[in-house]
Amino acid sequence: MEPQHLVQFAIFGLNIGAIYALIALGFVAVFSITGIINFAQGEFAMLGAMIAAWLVRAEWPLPVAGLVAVLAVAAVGALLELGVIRPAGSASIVTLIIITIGASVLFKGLAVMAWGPDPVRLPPFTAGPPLRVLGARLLPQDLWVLGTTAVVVVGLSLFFRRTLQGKAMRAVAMNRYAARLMGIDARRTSTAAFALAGGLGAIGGIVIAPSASAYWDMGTGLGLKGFVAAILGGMGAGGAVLGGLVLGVVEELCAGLAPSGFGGYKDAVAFVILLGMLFFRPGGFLGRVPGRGGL
Amino acid sequence: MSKLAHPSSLLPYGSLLLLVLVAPHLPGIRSFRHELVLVGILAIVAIGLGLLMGYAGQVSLGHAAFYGLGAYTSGVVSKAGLHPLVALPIGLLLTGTLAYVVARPIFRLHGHYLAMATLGLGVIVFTLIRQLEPITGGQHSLIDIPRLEVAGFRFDTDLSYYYLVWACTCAVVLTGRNLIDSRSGLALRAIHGSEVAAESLGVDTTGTKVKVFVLSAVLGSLAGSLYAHFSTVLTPHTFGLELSIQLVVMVVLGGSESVFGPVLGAALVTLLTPIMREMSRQITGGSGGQVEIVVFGLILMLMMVFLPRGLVPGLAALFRRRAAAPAPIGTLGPAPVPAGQAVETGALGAVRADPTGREPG
Amino acid sequence: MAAVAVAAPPLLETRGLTRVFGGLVAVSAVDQAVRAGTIHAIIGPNGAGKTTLFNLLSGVLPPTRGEIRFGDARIDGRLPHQICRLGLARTFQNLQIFANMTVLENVIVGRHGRSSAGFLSAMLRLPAARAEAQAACTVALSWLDFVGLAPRADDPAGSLPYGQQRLLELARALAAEPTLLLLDEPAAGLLGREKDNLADLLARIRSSGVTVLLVEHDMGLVMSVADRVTVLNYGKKLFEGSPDEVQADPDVVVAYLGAPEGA
Ligand SMILES: Nc1ncnc2c1ncn2[C@@H]1O[C@H](COP(=O)(O)OP(=O)(O)OP(=O)(O)O)[C@@H](O)[C@H]1O
Ligand SMILES: [Mg+2]
Repeated sequence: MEPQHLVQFAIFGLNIGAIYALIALGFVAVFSITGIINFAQGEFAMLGAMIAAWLVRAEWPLPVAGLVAVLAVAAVGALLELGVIRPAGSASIVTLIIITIGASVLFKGLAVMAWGPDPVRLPPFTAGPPLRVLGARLLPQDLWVLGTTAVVVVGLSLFFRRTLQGKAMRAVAMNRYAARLMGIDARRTSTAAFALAGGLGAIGGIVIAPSASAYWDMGTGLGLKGFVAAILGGMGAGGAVLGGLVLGVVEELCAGLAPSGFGGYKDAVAFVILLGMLFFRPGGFLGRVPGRGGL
Repeated sequence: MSKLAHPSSLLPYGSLLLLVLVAPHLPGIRSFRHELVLVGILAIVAIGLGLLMGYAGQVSLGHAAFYGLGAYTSGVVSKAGLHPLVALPIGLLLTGTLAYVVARPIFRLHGHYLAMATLGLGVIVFTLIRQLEPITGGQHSLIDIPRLEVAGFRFDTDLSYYYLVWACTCAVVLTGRNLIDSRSGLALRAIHGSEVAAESLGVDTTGTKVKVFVLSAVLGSLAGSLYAHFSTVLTPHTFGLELSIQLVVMVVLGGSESVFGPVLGAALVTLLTPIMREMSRQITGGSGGQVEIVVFGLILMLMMVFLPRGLVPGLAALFRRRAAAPAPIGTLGPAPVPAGQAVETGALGAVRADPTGREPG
Repeated sequence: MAAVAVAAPPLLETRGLTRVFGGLVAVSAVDQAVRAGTIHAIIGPNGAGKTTLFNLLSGVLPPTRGEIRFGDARIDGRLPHQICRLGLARTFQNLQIFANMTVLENVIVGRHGRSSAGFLSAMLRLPAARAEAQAACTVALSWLDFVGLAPRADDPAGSLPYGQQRLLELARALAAEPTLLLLDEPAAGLLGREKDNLADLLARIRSSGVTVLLVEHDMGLVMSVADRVTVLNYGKKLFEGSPDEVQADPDVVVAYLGAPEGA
């Protein structure tokens, strides 16, 4: 194994890991605020990619298509909360989880009806020759993925620390009851969390759509791995980002270093890690206590 | 506990038994014997999942994996020359052990993770089935699984297999009902009502949930074994996420409070799916073969919002309303309060609303 | 005889029992012994840590530090169901009725730790399991009768008025046949006549040999039934003595009525 291959796998891994990180952040936002594991999280990524690809095919400029797709999926997230989560009221968490499973199935079905079963691709955000890094190829799109993720993470952190809405969300995540006493509308915060999760997922789907194709069923795998990343990070925001990157790199290295013929096991790697984590380090590898998590 | 003696409580069991006995001979249904066998098989998995969802308050998105493990163990072991009735318990043991190993730490830590962990387990098992080609046949399918033969009788017609499967289904219905009515069933309902009170009264909440999970996995495995010797061909994609979700739909649709809910759900989903596909093919003129996915998604969401207890309790309430004294409208909510007592509770509610509710010094 | 009684080890004993929530020390280094056969009251202002103490004793919360002895066993770190099976049962300040069951079924759950039928024997309805279920039903009914709820046995538990729900929790805990019974504010929300009835029940429970640890704000009730009183304040043990001594202690009065210079 040549060192440049290792670097190449690391680059692949960081790329896909960045997507996992974005999706994981969506899980963390919803879980911290509502206690729900949102099974439609992966479908947010799928919807983002499919809507953007659809708009681009309709000759919309890529930046506009991307922005509209992100906003549209954020709206879908908010509608999901307003339309079915909230009317279910004080139902048990399990009931709410089943609702999100239903939403995930529904989104998949609608996507395949609207756009068909065939994969679509977005064009790379910018053209250009690949760069060479330590002998490995780094595509401009890779830089877009990593750059976008970095911007989102920084922006999110500013949002949670500087804006009123962000602070309210953090307060609710820490202690819903106390936040209500302070006059924070916890229900509006839930809607915001779902909208945020939708937007984050959509960004992930859109930035990956040029390198991996987008199709109706892409959300299942992405959602699962995003969840694994969130668990790795102990259901905290910072941990989720790290968890996503680590998961991506480990996955690519496993696939790259495994003897030929074992490539088909790649998708199982994340879940072996997941089960291992749940057994041995339930608080994430940063060692947080299992619980509501945080933002 | 005294419910048993009451003749009216035997009515549903009697009707089910009668229906099961005559159904394959009814005109119009005769030609669906093959599907009815599948309904019986999937009903067994769904009853197990229903116990988990309704009584342990957990969702599994990996029950197709347990079903697949049973099916492939039966297939592989019986092809290797062992009798199917030897292969079956091997599958049960394997599946039960796996379920135990997975559930123990998860229930102890964070119950809500179970759904995701089972989803992951489903993916792992699915990947293994697909990749372990020398054993499972992988994408090329496992073929030529021997039919079941007991004491010289070969279950090789749809009708004979129908009676075999439904005998198992009825046995599962009965034992499941017994469990619900027992000390353990009461403990599970107690956990649902108040986990902290249940454990303070001696209920091992983690242990009990794990047991239900293992039981439901084992039922999945049993059904899988039955499926293996029925279809004689196993393909990986039969045991994917799609089936796991269908199973959840069955339970949600029928309701998980009684053992009949999952049976009804299994029948509806299994029999209506081909019809939905056919209709959508006619409407869209070809491609739209995924309409059932949309319908399943809608069922899951709408049932949870509007009829979270499923169709069976709703139907039962309707039935009782016809038969007995009129009940107030809207009995579908949990623990309905008899109208006469509303005032009393309301009056004392004032006392309760005062959080201190105590005299000074 | 009296000398022997004094020398007998306490039924329950805590040493340095502490529970911290974040920065808040809810229970702080509490040393407490409870003698068998007594009614021991724990009083203290809101937020003093009484319920938290109960949660530690019953295993609902693990202690941060300290030890708990119950009979011959160390029970700190054990799970609630294990502690219950050793003979400790409790009720809850904010009612934890199984509203999805009948009144009788609620009490039958109280028999859980005293019965043993497993999944398999239940599924097959083996004779032993059926006999056990029958016996549990009979015992449960007798406890319902004890608290006066037998006529409502088959009603949904959620339909009982508040005061009767408290009695139901009492019957449910008694059905577990505890040697030590923890009651968290059993009189809260009860009306005058119901309180008298409760005091009567408590006396009968004590005379049947069950030790009672009682958290209660109703001082009338505490002073009339308790053999001994412990006062908690800010998680710390402030005072322990007979009911008369407690009433006479100036510190206790301050803790309850607030320091004179306050406000
Ligand atoms: N699970 C918890 N997490 C954080 N803080 C808690 C928790 N439980 C109790 N506390 C805090 O610990 C302190 C003691 O509470 P506790 O309920 O034990 O008081 P109490 O004496 O029972 O009061 P009351 O008379 O109002 O019932 C309070 O300040 C409470 O806010
Ligand atoms: Mg209290």
